[in-house]
Amino acid sequence: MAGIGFELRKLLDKDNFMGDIRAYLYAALLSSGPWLLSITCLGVLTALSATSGAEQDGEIFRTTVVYVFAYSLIFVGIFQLVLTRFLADRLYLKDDQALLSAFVACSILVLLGGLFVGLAVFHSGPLPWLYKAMAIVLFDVVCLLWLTMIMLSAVKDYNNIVVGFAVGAILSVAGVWALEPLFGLYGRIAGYTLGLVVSVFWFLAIILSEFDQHTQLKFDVLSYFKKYWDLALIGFVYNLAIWADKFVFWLAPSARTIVVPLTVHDFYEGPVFLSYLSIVPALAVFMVKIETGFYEHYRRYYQCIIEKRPLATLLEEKEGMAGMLKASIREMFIIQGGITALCVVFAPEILTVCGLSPTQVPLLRISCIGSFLQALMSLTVTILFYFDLRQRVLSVAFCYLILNAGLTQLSLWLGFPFYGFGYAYACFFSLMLGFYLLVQTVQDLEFITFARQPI
Amino acid sequence: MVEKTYDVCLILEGTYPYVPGGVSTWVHHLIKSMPELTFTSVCIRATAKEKAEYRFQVPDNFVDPRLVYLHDHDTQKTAKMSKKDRAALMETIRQWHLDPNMTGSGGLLALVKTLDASGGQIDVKDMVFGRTPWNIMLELYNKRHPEASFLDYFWTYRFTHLPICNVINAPLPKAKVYHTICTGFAGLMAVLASLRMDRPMLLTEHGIYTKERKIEVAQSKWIHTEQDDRLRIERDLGTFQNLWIHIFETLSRLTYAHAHRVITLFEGNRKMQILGGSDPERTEVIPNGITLSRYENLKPRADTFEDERGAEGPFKIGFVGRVVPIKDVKTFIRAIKIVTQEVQNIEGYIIGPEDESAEYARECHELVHMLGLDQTITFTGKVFVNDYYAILDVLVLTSVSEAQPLVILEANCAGIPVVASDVGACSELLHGRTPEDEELGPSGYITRPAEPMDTAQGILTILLNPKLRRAMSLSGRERVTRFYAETDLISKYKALYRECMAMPGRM
Repeated sequence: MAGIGFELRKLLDKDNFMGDIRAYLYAALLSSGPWLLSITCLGVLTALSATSGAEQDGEIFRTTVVYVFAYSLIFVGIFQLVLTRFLADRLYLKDDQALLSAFVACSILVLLGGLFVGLAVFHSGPLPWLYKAMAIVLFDVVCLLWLTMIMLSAVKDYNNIVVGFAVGAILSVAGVWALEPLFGLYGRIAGYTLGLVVSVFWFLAIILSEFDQHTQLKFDVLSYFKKYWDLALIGFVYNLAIWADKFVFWLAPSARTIVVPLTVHDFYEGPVFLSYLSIVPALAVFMVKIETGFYEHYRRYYQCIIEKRPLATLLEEKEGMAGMLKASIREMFIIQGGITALCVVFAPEILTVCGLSPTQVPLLRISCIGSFLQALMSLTVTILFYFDLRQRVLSVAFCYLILNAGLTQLSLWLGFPFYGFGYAYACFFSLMLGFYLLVQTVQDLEFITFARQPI
Repeated sequence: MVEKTYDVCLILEGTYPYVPGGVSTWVHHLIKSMPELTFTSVCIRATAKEKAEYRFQVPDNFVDPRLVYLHDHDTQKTAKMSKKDRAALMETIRQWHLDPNMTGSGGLLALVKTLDASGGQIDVKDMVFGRTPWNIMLELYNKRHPEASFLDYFWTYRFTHLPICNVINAPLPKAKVYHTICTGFAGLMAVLASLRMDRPMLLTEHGIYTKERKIEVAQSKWIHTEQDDRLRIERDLGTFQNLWIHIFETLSRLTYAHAHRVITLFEGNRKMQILGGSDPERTEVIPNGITLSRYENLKPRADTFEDERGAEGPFKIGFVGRVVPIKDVKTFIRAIKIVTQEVQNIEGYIIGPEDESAEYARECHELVHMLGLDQTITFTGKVFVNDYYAILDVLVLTSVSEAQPLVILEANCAGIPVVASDVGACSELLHGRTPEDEELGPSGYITRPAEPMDTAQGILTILLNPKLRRAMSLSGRERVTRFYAETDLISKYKALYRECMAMPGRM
């Protein structure tokens, strides 16, 4: 008769589950982290190709990589949070055998699905079929790369993620540099793919050594897509939202088609990708703050519940948690605010260094501010994830998607002085929504924690 | 279609016709003895997961029984009602909970009226997950138990209120009188029926509900969390047990307050009902009776023979009952040992089934062997008791807990003096309940429970004193004939039903 809901018990069993729920944090970072590295990687490749002279080939290759990243992140987004959740639950239950099996099941789905998505993205246009095939292979490799990283972040092997990815990135740059002179466009994509394949195998090796291999292939992870359909949707929508403004610009009349289906928007893309690099410090601060400050309070709050403390004690703990959150946000504002301010001030110099046009100064400025707001938004979303408020996260993700697409389209109509404002305002309003939901959550934490417990 | 109106609706908690036992047998006889009335019932059971099978051949006048499950919650179940009605209902519930005298008729009547005005159903989903019930809970917590563990308080609130929601939401048959056979959830349901249908309700309590629940709560593992090492605040243990007991006491109080008559089996229980909040004016003792003809001719009357016993051979001392710990058979065995040291020619009989607690039965056999009583004491197993009533000289009842044991009535009716421990109705069955009854003189000997010396003393007093034995035998017969005939019980209930059915009100 007395049954404290499994969910609550799990939430309260700090040592196991708290550690695992942090996987959400890394999952959130994963959607930003790797492709920050990718941008760097692309930047280096752009710089390299600028010297090699084959301008057309360079653009085709670079755009292919951008497309691969964009579509793979969105596609794997469907799996990302659901798999994370499944792994966290199984780790909590100490059902180690289910882990590898879930990974293999997801890999099969991702690789098969990836073929179709890749085919859908790259099939059209006059590019040689060999190149198209190689692009699709690259797409699958990158998809698998994201999946292996999810797997490793579930066991919190972050060092290996960074090292493995860095090695792969360096090798892919080296591969492009080495093979391009020999095989031209094919050489570039092959070299790049080979570099990432090294990362994938690096991660696979770790996965195979870390996880229990005495396992049968089971597709029970699929039941999680039904149970946690909202997580699948969040992953998809959130990643789509991140790319929404880019898609809108690629479809704009001012976009330039290099060769069907590859389109770039020369004016918009550069500064926006560049601005993402400016929020690296914010993400670092964010990670540390969540880990050391917020998490401590969060843990203590639930600890108080299991220690059967009176409500007054819970409320005191919550005050501490709210104070901590405020302090974290303030700190992030100061540090990232300063960096963003510097970027805004030195926008012309930054553009010059990167070889972009001075006409893009206002765009870089506004997208730096946008990125800053986006970083704050992902902070609120991550904390909402901590409280397992998936519906609320979903509403933020949808809000971001709709606003980022809608306002970006609006900015297009309004003309180029407004470029970037759509993105920035989308981030701003989504941040406001996320922040509002977060404040409400903290205020109402007891009700949320207790009243939604199933019988 | 016009809804059927029954004469009597019995409200039962987990008993007839699904569970064998004293209360069910009692209900069965009641129904069977009044073929002119139509009975229906609402039986409250814990969960539909436990199979409910008829254990009785139910009489034809027992129709359309319904089942209500206390612990099966459909937490997705919502009730349609307007926002205004919902708010009004919640406010009534809140006021009712804040009222220190929540058992007064005002609060519950207001609740029933508001509820019926808004569709008659509590919104279970809202009760479990909703905001307003949460706020009411917080208010009560802050007011009454601000120091208690919030986690435990929350779950206690849920687990105490969900069954109540189920009781409130259960559809009720229309009847001229509602008769609940205990307080508790069945009591609440009877009160609600009485208020909603504007018909009187009767309460018959065999055992005192709150007392039984208190024992259960004290023994239960699920209310507190002893196994949890992290438990820090010891006194919280008490808080939550008390919360449960408080709920049960409140339910009893509510039932007592609304019942037209509060009936029990014997005087001791009546006193407890009054302590539990029952108005003494409305209480009444209607003891269980037996069919006299079955027992009165088993033995010749003690005044019809001149010799000492009217029988040959050794003295026969019997224990009649299931061989289970609550009957404390070991005290009987030890008492027999003590008796053998004074009187040699005796025989002891342990008459009753041994399968209910095999472990305890085995211990009893061992004890008999250890005390060297193998030749003296016979375990008969399950037999036709009347065969033994015909030969016993004295009957012993060593129970540590009893209500109104029929075995005393049967023995007395057969003319056998009884040695019984002072529990339940034993004393009033042997010494008389009313002054008129007391004048008949004792029909047995009362001892302290679990005291073999006392019991042996009682047996010896009766065995060694032929005059006393004869007097007891005669007064026992007289007492049972005059006060404990089953026909009396039936006619008393019949009269009560008639009285209630004739009362004005909606029909």
